[in-house]
Amino acid sequence: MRRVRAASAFLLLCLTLLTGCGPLSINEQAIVLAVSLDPDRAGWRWTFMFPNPTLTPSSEASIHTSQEFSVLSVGGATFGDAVDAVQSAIDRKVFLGLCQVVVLNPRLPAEMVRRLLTTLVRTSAFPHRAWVTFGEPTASELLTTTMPEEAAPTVYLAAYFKCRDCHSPASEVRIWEAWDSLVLPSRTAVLPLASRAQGRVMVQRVAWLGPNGIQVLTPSETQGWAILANRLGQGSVSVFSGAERFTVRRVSLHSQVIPQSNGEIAVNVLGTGTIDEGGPYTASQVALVQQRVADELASSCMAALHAMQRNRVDPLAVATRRSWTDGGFPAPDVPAHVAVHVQFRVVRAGYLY
Amino acid sequence: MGLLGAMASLGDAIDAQLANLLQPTHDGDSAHAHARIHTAFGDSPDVVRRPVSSNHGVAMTVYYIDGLVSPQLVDTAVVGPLSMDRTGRAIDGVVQVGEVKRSSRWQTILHHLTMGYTAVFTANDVEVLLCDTSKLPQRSVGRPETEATIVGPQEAFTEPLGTQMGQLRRTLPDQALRFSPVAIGTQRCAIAYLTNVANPQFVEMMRERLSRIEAVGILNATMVGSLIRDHPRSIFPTVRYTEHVSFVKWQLLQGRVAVLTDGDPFAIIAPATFRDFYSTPMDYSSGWYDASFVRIVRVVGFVISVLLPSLYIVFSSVDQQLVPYQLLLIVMGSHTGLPFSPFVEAVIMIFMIEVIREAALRMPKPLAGALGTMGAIVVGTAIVKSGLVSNQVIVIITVTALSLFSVPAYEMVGAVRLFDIALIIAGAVFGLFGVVATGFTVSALLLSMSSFGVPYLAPIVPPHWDNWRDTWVRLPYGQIEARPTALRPLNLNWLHLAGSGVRRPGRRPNR
Repeated sequence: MRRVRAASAFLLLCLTLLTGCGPLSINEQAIVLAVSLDPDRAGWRWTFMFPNPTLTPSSEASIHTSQEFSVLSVGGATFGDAVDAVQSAIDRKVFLGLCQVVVLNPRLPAEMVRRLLTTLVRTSAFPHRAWVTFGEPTASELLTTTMPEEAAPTVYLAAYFKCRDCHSPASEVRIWEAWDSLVLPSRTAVLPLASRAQGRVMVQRVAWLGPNGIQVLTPSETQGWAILANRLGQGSVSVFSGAERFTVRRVSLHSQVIPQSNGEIAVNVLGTGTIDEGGPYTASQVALVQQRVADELASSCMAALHAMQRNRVDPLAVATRRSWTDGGFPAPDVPAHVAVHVQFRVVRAGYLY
Repeated sequence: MGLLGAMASLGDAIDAQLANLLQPTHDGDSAHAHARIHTAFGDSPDVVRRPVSSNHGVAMTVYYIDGLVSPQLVDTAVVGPLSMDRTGRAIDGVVQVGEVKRSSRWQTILHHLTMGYTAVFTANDVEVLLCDTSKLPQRSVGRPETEATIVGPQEAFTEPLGTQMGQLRRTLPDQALRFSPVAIGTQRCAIAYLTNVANPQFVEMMRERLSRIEAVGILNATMVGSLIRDHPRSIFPTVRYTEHVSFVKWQLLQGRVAVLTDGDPFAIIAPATFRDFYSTPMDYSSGWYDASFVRIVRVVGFVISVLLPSLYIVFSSVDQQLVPYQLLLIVMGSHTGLPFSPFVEAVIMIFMIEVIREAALRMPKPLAGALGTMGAIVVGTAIVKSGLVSNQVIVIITVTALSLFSVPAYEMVGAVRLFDIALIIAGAVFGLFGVVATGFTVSALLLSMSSFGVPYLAPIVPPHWDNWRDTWVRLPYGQIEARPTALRPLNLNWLHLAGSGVRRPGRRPNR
């Protein structure tokens, strides 16, 4: 009986201590679905996106798209200040636990972004699994852009990033992943850059958050980074062979970045793809296409590597890996000499190959 | 002196009467017998006294209780032969009934009168003839109301113990079938078991537990079951009740023991483990695939009925970050403007459903149908429009209520319902941790329980892998030849398929 009492007391103690207290009713909470940060004349502009609290499956059809979400912009030197400012502007308790996306302006100082990522990871009430991205023309504008296929209460960018195999390059990153990339000073975090163009939100480039600031890559450099980081997914490459344009689809690549003992790095890329359209093609035509694709891929890789050298960033963690073998504190440099070898094979071309 | 004399004579009369009443046996005096019977039954009009005089001039008095006897039988088989007898034989041979006993003990005589016997008192004879003329009011054999099956045997027990034994004997014509009578006060019970299967320990334990009961009157089988079961304070039942004759037959064949109670068509089956409350008679009269699928549905129903409302409360009120945000926002949208929290709404809905259920039980069948319709309209529409409860809570609690009734044994429904309410409260107060802690606590309690020495969670814990063929699913009969190991039957196999080529799955044929 004494053991039963002791076990009961222990259980009750655990229940009391571990479960927290004072959870608020669902009707007393303002759920934050997305946060954006832009530079402002007076400092920083924080924008919080809330869902329409009256949204139900039956009311969805009658609510206008512009009323599905509401945004609230406040100024604040830190994230905590911004939350306090939002809290004082609404009659509900701000609930950050379901935030899906954090959108950052690429013109922000790199240090500010680093500090924010660290703050968000250290804020226990904030979900570390939320996606983080750069957004242009401004983060808040991107946040308030609604897509026709977006069904409230789904946040478009969250749904976009969640579909991992849908896009090429696969540049999505969660807050904890970005923060983890910044733990070592030599490392570089890679964040997607979402742009608004012609009324749509597109993610075709990435930006590096390195020791020297934020560098937005070109589409070619982005493709090169995706190849080197094995994040191209199932993309496609268009090349010209003579006057004819070939689109090689279902491109599947596997790359290896190997630090050499002489300080150089070697990049080996193996890939396959298919040409679905046209045909029949001769073997020499296919061989030429293969060569063109390999050249294109090598060119992209070189562009990315040159960007890494130019900006003295290390998104592939080459320097970190070298430090494991050579010892010493890694320098965020990519060696001056790199060699890229690409082997590409078209496994199916047209209907006769 | 006159007054004193009168008082003295009154005292003598009282003493004589008391002496007569205190006598344990009949003394052969008809007047004393009448006084004793009058004292026992009072002025009850159903106690009939008929003086009979035989052709030889022997004065006899016949007593019986109207309503318990067949008047025709009394007339033609007892009174008629006695009054017309010219042979002068002993009256035992004159009466023409199935069972005749002799006794001079008043306790025996009075008890037999209440059982529908006719007592024949012969002048100056200390022994009384007890003739079985009972014809109890009895309904015809019907279909099981609580365990209806679509295919297979459809016979339910009736109230009289004799009929129950007859039904079982006819269904299981095996000489190993034994009925061991046990009397609890005036209540007659019988332990049914198969001598070549059931572990004698169970039979002895059952007999010992029944014989320990000293009660003036027992109302029904549930009362008997409550008095003999293990863990009488637990909400989880440890004996099973069934009115299905073929199900009792199957349980006896598996090595269990049944207790039949006079006056209650429900038989008590023991030992009963947690798994037994999720099997039905139809599991053994439908195809193995159908029975297996339905069993899995029942398990899912159990999980839903136990966890769905509590998890809803947890995710909508306490640990909101654990639920997909789309769902939470829809829940929030449906709660906009409503005054109560999801917990209070769930309590309101549970209360409403219990009230409707209870009312439907008490009402006549035609009205119960109307009440169900009215309840559905009230619960489904009006309560939402009135702003008391949100749509989600209605869906959750209704699905839970339906899942509850996927439990085949009614006695388990109440336990699961209470467990469910405990989890709701734990979830509302302590969140997910409360639900997990309560679940583990109840699991630990279940693990510590047993029924007649059999672990309550057998054959799951401790695992008897062979018995799993008839636990979560029901494999084809050729593959479940073994009886439940936990019952420790005298003979482990109930089926032998010699030369049929049926082999157990996963076992290679002998080379």
